[in-house]
Amino acid sequence: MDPILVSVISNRLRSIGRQMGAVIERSAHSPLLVEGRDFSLGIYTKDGQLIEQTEYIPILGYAAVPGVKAVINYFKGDIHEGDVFLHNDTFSGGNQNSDWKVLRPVFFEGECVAWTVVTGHQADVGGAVPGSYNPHATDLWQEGLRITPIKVYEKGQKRRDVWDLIFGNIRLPIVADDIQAMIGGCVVGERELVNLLKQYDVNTLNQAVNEIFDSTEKMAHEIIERIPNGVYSSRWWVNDDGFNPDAKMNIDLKIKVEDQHLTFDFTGTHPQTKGYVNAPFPVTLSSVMIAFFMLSEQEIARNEAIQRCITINVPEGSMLNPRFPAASGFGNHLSDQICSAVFLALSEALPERITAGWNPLLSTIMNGFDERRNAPYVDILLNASKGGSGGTYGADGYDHIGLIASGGALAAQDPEMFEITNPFFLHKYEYAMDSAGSGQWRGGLGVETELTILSDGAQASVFGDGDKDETAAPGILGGSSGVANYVKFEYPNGETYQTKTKDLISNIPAGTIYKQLAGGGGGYGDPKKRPVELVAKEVKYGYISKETAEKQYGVKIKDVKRGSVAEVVR
Amino acid sequence: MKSYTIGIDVGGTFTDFLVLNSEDQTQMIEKISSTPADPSIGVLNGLSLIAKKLEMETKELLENTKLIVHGTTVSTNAVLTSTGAKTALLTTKGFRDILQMRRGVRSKEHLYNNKYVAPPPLVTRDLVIGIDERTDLNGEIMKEVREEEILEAVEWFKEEEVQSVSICFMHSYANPENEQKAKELVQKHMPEAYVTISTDAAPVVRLYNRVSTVAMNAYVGPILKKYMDRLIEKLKQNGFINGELLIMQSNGGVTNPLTVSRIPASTVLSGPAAGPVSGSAFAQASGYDKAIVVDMGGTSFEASIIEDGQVAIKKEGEINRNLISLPMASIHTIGSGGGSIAWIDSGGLLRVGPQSAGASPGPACYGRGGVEPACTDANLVLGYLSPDFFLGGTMEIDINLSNQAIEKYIAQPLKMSVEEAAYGIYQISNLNMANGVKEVTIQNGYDPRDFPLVVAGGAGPIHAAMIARELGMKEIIIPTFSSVLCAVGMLASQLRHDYVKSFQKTWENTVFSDVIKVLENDRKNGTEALLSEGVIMEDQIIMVGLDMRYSGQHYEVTIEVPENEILAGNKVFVEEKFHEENERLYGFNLKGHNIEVVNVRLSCLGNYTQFSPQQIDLLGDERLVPKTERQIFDPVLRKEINSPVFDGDNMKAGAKISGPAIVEMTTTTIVVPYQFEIFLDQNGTFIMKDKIAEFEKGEELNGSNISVSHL
Repeated sequence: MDPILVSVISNRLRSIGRQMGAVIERSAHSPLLVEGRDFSLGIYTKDGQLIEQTEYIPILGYAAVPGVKAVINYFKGDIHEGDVFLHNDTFSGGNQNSDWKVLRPVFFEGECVAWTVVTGHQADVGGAVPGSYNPHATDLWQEGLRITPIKVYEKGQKRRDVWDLIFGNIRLPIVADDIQAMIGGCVVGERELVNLLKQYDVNTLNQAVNEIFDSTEKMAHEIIERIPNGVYSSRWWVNDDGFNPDAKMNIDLKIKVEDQHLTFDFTGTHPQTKGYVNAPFPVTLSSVMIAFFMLSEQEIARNEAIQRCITINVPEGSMLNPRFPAASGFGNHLSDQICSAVFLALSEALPERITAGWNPLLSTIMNGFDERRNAPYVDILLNASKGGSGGTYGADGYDHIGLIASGGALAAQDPEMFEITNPFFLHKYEYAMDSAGSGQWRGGLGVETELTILSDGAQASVFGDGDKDETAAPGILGGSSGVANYVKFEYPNGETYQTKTKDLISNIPAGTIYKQLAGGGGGYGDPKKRPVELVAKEVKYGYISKETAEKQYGVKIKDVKRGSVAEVVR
Repeated sequence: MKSYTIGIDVGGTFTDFLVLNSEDQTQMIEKISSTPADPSIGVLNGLSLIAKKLEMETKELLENTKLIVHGTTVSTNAVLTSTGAKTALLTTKGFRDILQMRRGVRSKEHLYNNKYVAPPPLVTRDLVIGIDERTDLNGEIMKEVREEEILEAVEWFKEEEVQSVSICFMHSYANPENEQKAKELVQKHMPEAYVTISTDAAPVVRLYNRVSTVAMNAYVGPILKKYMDRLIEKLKQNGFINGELLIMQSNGGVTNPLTVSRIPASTVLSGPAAGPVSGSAFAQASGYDKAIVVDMGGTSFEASIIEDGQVAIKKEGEINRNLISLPMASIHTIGSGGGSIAWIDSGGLLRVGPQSAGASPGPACYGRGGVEPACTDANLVLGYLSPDFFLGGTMEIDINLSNQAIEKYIAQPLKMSVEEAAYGIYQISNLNMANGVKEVTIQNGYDPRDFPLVVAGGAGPIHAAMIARELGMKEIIIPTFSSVLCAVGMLASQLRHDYVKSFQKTWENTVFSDVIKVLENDRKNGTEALLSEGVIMEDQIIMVGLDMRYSGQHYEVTIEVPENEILAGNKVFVEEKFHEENERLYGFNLKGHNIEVVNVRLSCLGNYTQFSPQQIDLLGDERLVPKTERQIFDPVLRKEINSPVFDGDNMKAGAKISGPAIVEMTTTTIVVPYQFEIFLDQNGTFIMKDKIAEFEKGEELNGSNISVSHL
């Protein structure tokens, strides 16, 4: 086929993906979709192969693939023009209860030729805890509404009974508005694909898609060929299963590199846990892809063809592939540890491409009643939870970037908007000095947040990891670890409580002070090799203290007066 | 009687001029090299060249000039090259890093790039000082500013030789007192410094937006002021005594130098913002009240929208990852131009750009050491450009070098002929640019098929037809002065003063008399400024904007209406417009949902000059004869054909040519492919039409419709 025409069609598909995203980014309601951009979109072939995706947040990219196939399979023979489907079920290909998929078939001249799909994290999906992070859940029904493949529009008509049943089980009315916006995104994608097909016929599109797949596969082959053949292994840890804060669950990984093929084998990984610390298979799939893209260090199309060169084995019944009816609300956040395991395993083979550890997410979703506005609120404290990424060869970690699964796409709330939309008063939200792991390339800085809760009766669901020195972001090749996370409550009666990494705190009185440290990333390489002037400059900027400069970097700074640095020696 | 009006656009490579003479109605353009070290030198060089051509001294020209409108890249360059003033920031204690954090976003373009390093912030952290003050979200002052604390900070700034101080405190949009007090104190103790507060530039909610805007203000302020002072001084020395100087702002309107020095961040798009203004003038002259304007230069391609004769304005924009919350022309820039380099990615697919060979070494055909094939090389191989008539024959280029470059880097690896490869490069370039147009249209809810395409820049008209066809656009407008589009825009703009105030109310509680009250002071300032610029009250146009959203949404939609509607309290009208606007942008509305207002805006506008294109002579009975013929690759027929080449510089109004044809002018070349037709109107503007619909009706390709026809 004409290689130019393939480029033309591939460009067109990319721009259709971007158009779908623009609809959701601008018209949705939930802060998680608009501020956090916790959504992703894709164009699929008629049998559910991913052709093109625009992932606003990487974890939702490949994670949608198994569910899309499940829905198409389920409705085989009953798919019509104008239908819209909904799905979240973690036991038929979903990645997290909160991540809902909207799917719409694309028809051309009476035939289904493709699918447009939008996945997005919903503000509430029912279950025992508003916001649907329930650390005490022991099965999926306690977490939220389970949506097996279901049709919400039939031939262009809304199925009102189905719609009302679903949204009758959800606390916040904005969720229905957001699903409407996601459907809007799919409709725009469909319209544009039909325009494309009017110009080139179905055959040409299918041929071009095959060529795009082949070209992507070829590119992936080249990337894999640059990794020396061999078997690389690692063991990494997930901490606190929601019931025992000291519980340690291992992720075992063996990566086999054979010429143009990669196998990721998670045999030996800890069995599924009792609570929500379990990840459905799509989480592992997406996490492995995130690590692969980061390691490939080049632009490569993100479609299904890459999976031709990558095999992923996860034993059933393990924490990364739990059996029915396991809870798995925390599952997406195991991507931190899965990516770490991949980087760790390949640290010898690709020392210049891996990063040191990223700050493992520790976050809080707060809900309650805002007395000022006379309305309920739910918000994830993204601002307080975004720590630093790991240093890498040639670049420091990125400051305040947040979890690895977001690739730095999650935006922190603006401090003023944060005070306006939630009953909180912010005292502090700044980079935390000495939070980053030291190294020739240091980790990204973490942040320190302090706020007063203004309304009575708030509830906090804390979820995450990394609250101890040994579970914080590890340094690599001589670099040191980032500092550990913490979340603390200082109650008006003088008592304080430092939370566990999976915790549910209820009936919080007004006037309580919330304090959080999101740690920095791990450092890369020997800190003694970091240029003296750079160390001195960072002391001047207040990123590191005089003591750290001396102890970690071996740089003696005689005098610091309001940031003015005098006499520097190593 | 002063008779000259001059528009000057100082760009990175060239400084462009447009001179109007009101006495004999003549128009003249000039293009000379810019002098980046001190751009005022280039300005004066150009003026003396123009004077020479008019057979007079510079002094005589300037003594007879009543108005100079100036667009400058001084601020833009200061930001892009990190050469702004040494700037400090006073902010609320506890929020020291808001500027640098950029909300913790690594950007969508770098999701997987762990080696990405963000551009440094405009203020380094040692010069950001947290002040123990606080205002709450209702505007209540909880802690006042203390003089000792400011004094201590000022001592430190002096030690560090700070030139410029920006101030931004939490919730100052709700009450600017603390910022104002801090400003007075800094001015008192540091009288030589440039001092600016966030509520002067952009009193809107969102700390990050304000801090980023005020830092930009402080960063470019002293640089811009120094340049303006120097320019004004030089102009004065050369006879420009009683004339007026106006400056182009990013919002596509012009204002006096005093206003610009108060909000210098409003000049970061000073040059390019004039492009759509001028595109609009030409489109209107040819009978269109809307258009998409594109400008293809050597390294970049800019696209913007005109609707109802107005330039689309957005509420904020970014430069080098620095957010600026000031109205600016909605211009989308992508890295695609004549110098864009073609390459093959490791998956074997052809790509063009964003790397550019620039002007140096330039495309391979320049023979200045560029080895990789650029877009211009492909255009040369395809016969669209002539080796003998590049820049009207003033520059020598070598087609053999183009052939070699394309052969080696594209044709051989893809196993195709040089011509096929060149055509591939041409096609991918067109697609890139078409995607750039989509960014300003579809991303903002516009359908490009509803617009004509105004094409500017030297390389634009070569690609225009095929970009238009890719987007389904049927009409293409190529103005006479398309190569100095921005300089024309300087003289086709309006005087414009924009203001914004935070106004947080539910729609229920919104009373229009409160809106008027909140904007009262701004209205006074805007009106006075226009008066001082010579616009009498009756001629002033006052528009009020409301940033509205459905409760719970995060993005606002701005509804702009004439002040009368607000004075008349016409809430129903505004609400209806709001629902309509949502329908248009996102395809749905939420009638019945609660609505809220976030900010209110005021624009004071006035006309100062009306550029109109010069009428050209009509074609008489004479036959339109091509000056020559050459082999070109027709992009629609996808094969090589023999095409007539016409002299566009001396063509008369009414001339009509069916493609395939080439129209050559000194500053640009138009490719008219098969199925297209071009027409020169009386304004000297070429109008090209895609006749595909007619051809689809069954017209066969035969001798008659590839021949030349004329009126």
